[in-house]
Amino acid sequence: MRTMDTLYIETLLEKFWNAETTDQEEATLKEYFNQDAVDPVFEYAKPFFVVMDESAEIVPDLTASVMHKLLEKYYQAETTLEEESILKAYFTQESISEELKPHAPIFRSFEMVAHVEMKKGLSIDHLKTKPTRIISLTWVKVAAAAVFFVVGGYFVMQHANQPEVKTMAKARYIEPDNPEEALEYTLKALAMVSRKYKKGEAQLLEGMRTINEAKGAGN
Amino acid sequence: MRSIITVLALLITTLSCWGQNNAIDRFFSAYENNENFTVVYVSPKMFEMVAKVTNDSKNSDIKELVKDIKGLKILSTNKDALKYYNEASKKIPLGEYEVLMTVKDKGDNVKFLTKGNGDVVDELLLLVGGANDFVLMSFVGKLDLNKISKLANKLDIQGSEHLDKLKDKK
Repeated sequence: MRTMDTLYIETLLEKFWNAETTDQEEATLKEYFNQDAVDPVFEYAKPFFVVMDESAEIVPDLTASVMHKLLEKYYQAETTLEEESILKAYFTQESISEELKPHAPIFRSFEMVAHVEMKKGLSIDHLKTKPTRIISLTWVKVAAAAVFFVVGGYFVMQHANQPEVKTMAKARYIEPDNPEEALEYTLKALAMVSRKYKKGEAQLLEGMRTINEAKGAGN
Repeated sequence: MRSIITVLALLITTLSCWGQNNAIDRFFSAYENNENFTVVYVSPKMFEMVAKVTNDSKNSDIKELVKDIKGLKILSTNKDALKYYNEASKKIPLGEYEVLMTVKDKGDNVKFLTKGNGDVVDELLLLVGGANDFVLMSFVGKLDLNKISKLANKLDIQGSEHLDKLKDKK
């Protein structure tokens, strides 16, 4: 009995898809789909008839059923370009019915190819901005050179200054920190200079006298 | 390219500033590493302050002498004095400094070296070495040798007074 039922429904559905059903037949289909024991084979068509029931609380996914039908046609290579574009549009958007999700990658892959083409376009834009980059690279080089010289100079300077740093640690280092003390050291130093200078001058005079005396002795 | 040249120019300027680290400074730093030495250093900045202090002083002779000194460095030790004297005599570049006079003073060898011409010199070096002490002094700035010699007596008194003061402090 069941198979009879199924066959009958199948025939009716076929007629329905071809818009050949009478009101009577449509009512039968509606009745069939609104009862609980719907054959799983016809599950996809259920929303078409359930939606007609105004008392239905859940808004059925009409689109999914249409897509299901289109998919069937697609796999048999019977779809027109228009229908294929409908499928593509459906599968590339966000809300795809759970049932149909496994088919999505086929249409998504087309979309991905399309994106690759778009990226190529973008890379051409990148090429256009490249000349500016080359200029900035020269500046980077200049900056790098500057950094190199500054860092290099710093190390050389540090090296040159090293003995003085060691000085503090090794020799007794006196640096007066007030002018009075500095003046004392300066005057002490100048006193020594002048004392020695005077001594030198005296020796010079002494030497000249000796020479003169020698000259005088010679005469 | 222009910026590289600018950078190089700046670098050369900095390097030439270093160049003022003259031979005698290098000589000083060589001995500053030796723990037997005492170094006294009065910076140009300190001399600016000294000039301000002496400006108020009544002693115009000292004021005159000190005002043009830009820097003072003294290196001294009481160990191996003669050895260091001979070493220093050899190391001082005679291309840069002119020997003004050499004096023998009670067993001390004394050398005056100058940089610059005439009685007013740009730098004066005093090198003393004998049985007891080794001293190397470097004065930088305009120094009038005639004035220094004429002020000898006065400075002697001033210097010894200050010496006493310093001794009292310690």
